[in-house]
Amino acid sequence: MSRPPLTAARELLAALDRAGLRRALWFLRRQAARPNEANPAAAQYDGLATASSVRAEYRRRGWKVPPPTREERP
Amino acid sequence: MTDTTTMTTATTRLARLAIDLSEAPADPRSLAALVAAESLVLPADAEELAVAAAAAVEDAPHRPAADAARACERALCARLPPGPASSYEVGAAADVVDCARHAYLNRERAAGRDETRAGLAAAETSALEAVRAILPGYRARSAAQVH
Repeated sequence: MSRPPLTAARELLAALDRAGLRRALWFLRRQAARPNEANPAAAQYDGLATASSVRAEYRRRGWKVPPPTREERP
Repeated sequence: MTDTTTMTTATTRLARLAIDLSEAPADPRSLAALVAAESLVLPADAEELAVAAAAAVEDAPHRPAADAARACERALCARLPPGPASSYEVGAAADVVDCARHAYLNRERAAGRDETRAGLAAAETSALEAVRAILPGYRARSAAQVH
């Protein structure tokens, strides 16, 4: 049975290496903490990834998941 | 002669304190972030240095090292516009206290001793005193840190 095609968001995260994922997480967290800040480095993930989807990608790869920040905790 | 190329802030001092308390050499990425935070003019790649410092937190070999690395990351983030720096100061102060607590636990385990409530309280109290010398009036964020 063939795997379903990856969504654009999933494809973006799947293509990132460890450093890329860390970078995405850092900028997405910063953007979430400062929604009014215009940050070009964070804009590339707009509508494609969130901090939680990056953490999910860590989990999918079996990596130790970075702990949630105080703001991300329920 | 006065050094006109560097400056210290509450968060940079707290980060240096955390490195001292961690009893481990700091990760070069954390040090680079701290040096950038201490520079009078923030380097153009400051955000990338902060990303690398965040990676150092993930790669830290033990908890005290992770706490110190987190304090270094916060020191640089506090300098990044638009702020506010105050939230990072409180976070870095909490990192210092965490660092003292985890360093004490590591030390006792390495020596094959059981940690004691009094020993833990002493480590936290001395860390809190050092933090308050930098950040007057700082209060630990949870009751678990106050003995």
